[in-house]
Amino acid sequence: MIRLVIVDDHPVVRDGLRGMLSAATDFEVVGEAASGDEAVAVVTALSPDVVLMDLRMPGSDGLSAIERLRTHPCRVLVLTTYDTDRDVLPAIKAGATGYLLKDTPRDELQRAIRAAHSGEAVLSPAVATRLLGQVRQPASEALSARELDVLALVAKGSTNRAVAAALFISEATVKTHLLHVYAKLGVSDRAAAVAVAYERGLLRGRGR
Amino acid sequence: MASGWSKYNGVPVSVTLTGAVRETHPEVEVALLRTAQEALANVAKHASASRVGLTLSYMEDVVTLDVRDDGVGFDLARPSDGFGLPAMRHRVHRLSGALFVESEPGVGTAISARVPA
Repeated sequence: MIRLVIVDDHPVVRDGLRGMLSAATDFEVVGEAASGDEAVAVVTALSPDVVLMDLRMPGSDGLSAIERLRTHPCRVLVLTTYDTDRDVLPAIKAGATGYLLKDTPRDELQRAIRAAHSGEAVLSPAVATRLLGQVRQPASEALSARELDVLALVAKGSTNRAVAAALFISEATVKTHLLHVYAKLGVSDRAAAVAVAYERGLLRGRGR
Repeated sequence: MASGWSKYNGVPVSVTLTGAVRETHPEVEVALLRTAQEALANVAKHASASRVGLTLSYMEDVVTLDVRDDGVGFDLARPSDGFGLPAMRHRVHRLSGALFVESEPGVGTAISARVPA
């Protein structure tokens, strides 16, 4: 019997997972938690074999819980909606055994829990692809401070004209900066540049 | 140069350097300096500006010089004489660069030179 704890801030998700997993005879859901702090408390009290951990939860997030559970013998399987670099790598570095997306079919989820229980790494195909890409590609050239300034303004919806006014430079130079940003991020337009920048955490916490 | 111009004309010039500032070919430096001087001369003569920004941006393959003011601007469709724009353009073109002039009545003017570095 594999003893499980489900961590997710949405009761509907917890109920759904509990129902889905109770159908299998070798699983027992022994506890639930709705935040990272609660997860640490529940896992410490109940000593489950495997923890299904959501990452983004209000209050204390899943990542900090994974870090705090590093010394605990349980296996942590991340189960989340997000497959961005910003989420995947830190979770795995923090000690997660696996990383699954919430669109994982029932059979695969059950297989993954059994695999994680025996210490095998499990990754959703989308996550595995992303990790392989990271290993293969040399880190993209870093954006300069000025390029980040321009991109941050674009991310807020500014036109080239507005960016030029804010930085008190010409639109021509704004375009030149953007072309360098596109080349460095491997994209061809401003929307993709903003998306990639957020994905890589380049624009996190910026703002003026 | 900018501070002397600023003192003489009574208009504050803010100078901004961005990117990895480095030495460029003397020809490039001379061309950018002349462009900056002429752009500032235009601002003094025509713009009635209260603020001027001179920005040098060092990028991997190019350097750009921007001189932007918040003055009266002019109608790009009706270029007037005496701005020395053809000479500036010629100087920048000789270095395989490009010169851009952006202006609008009431909004100000930006002159931008982009040259390979």
